[in-house]
Amino acid sequence: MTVRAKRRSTATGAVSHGEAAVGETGAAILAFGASLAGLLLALPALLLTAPFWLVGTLTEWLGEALGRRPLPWDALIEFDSRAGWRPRPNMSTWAGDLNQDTFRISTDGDGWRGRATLDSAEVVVFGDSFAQGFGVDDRDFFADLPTKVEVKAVGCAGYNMLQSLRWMEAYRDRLEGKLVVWMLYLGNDLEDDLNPAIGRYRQPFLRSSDGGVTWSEADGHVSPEPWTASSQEGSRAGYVELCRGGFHARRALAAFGHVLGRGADLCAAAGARLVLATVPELSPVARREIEEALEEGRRREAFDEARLEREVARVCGERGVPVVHLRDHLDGRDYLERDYHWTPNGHRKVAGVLEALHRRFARGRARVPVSVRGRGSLDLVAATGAGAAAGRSGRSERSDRSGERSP
Amino acid sequence: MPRPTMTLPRPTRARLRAFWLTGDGLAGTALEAGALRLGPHWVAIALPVGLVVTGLTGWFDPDLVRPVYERWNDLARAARYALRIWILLLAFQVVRTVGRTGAADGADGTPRSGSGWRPRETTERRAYPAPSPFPAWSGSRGWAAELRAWARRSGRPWVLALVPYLWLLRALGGRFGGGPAGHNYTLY
Repeated sequence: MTVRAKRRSTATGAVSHGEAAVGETGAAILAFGASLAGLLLALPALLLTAPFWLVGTLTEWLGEALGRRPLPWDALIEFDSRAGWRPRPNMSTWAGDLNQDTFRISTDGDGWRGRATLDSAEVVVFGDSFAQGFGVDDRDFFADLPTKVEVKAVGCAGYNMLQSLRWMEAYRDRLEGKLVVWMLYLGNDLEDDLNPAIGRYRQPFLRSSDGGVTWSEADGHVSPEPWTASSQEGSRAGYVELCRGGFHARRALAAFGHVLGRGADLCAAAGARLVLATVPELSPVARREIEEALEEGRRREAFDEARLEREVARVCGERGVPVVHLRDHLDGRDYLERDYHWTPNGHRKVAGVLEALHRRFARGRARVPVSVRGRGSLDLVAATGAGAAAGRSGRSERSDRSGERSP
Repeated sequence: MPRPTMTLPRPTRARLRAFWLTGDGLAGTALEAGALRLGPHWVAIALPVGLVVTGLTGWFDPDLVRPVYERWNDLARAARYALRIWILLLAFQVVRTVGRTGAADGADGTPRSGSGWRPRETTERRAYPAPSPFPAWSGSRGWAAELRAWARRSGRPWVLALVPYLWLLRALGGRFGGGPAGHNYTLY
């Protein structure tokens, strides 16, 4: 039976089993012959690309062998009725950043990083993942660097300001005589104060029923149960909106004013000095995301990051809280290439700023000139309403190199 | 056994180090072999010292390696793209050869037609209960064993001639799931 005859009979559905077997054997022989010829033709191309195969395969294999397996995020935290979650105490393990790079993270009996104890520390830093030192090993963390002051960090990834405030309240009796530095990550902390949850993690948040005049703190929903309604952490689009002013920014800043005022009152009552440190969005990955957000929504008009910092400074001025903008001490190279957080060098700079702040605000030494290693003077926006209202961009009153201005 | 791949994965510090050590080792071996055969003796002696210094530099500062890693990956992606087209063309020739002879069910047998195959006019009966005609495709035996079993069951042994091409195309496939692992930290 010829092949063509077989094809015709297949079309009419009249092919017998024996006839089909002959045709399929022929097809297989032809196919394997063509396959072999094709592979011979593929061989030169495979040889030409051999260096890529070799390097790619060996890199993958060796990378697996050299890398460490980070602990899953859920295993790094535990439920806390006060703040929603907290770092797991007494751990010394490997965590992974957004790029899946691992870093060593160790915590004390309360779950906080940093060599010092809360009682021995002269500076206590509250905040989110920046205060927690996410992305760097313990030895590179600002609170573990060898400086002249003892620093304790009370921070956890994802925290909003209200969560930090909860810890300030918890440690209120242990803050006397200390400098409290409250880190405000401009990228999402202002927005997160208004969110009841981040992903499936419930958190205390702020709400207002009168357009932002008065605020109440909501935490009745905080439990270990996963949050099932839609909720996400502050986004780049949200940050862009904050930098454009408008309703969203006014609401977030009003909430910020409430929580900052509570913190300022608490520190004053506890005999501690409060300083706010803004953490700017300078990481290469964040800058790319901001550019995308600006392009997508055509929102470049009125976008002004300095305005947001000015507004934060204004609110701080109204509450009598000095503010240091870390933008003046950091640049994009101090942030990890593929994560939002600081590099070891960034941590060194932050440690220098904390040291300088402590020199400035240590009791009885408020007018000692201050300088930060490598970057000249420490810029502090005035804590007075007038000075703070003027804000940044050269219009605020600032300490000069001699540091004669006291906030 | 590592899965063969041409392109490099997301550059973590461990992978940057691995890439640097691999490149240093491979280039060093080639250069050393050349120096031993052709060059003066002092080159063959000095070369390993230079390679160790180079290797240690990348090991202790993997960020220095990142630009090289990324450029290499750009080249590897371009080479992979070209190779994938070439392999697809060769695999297509196998299918067309069978199709043009009309020696298999569904083959057109018309030498001038494109692939030599005509489209089905009915749906594969086995497609109704399962979304794929290969219900056990993701079984524990692996895709090649499943394909072999299917070829035997369906009376189409010629498809096994495509296995080397499928294997190559799989190795040349893109990397899926390039984002962070699901359990990874996503709050900041």
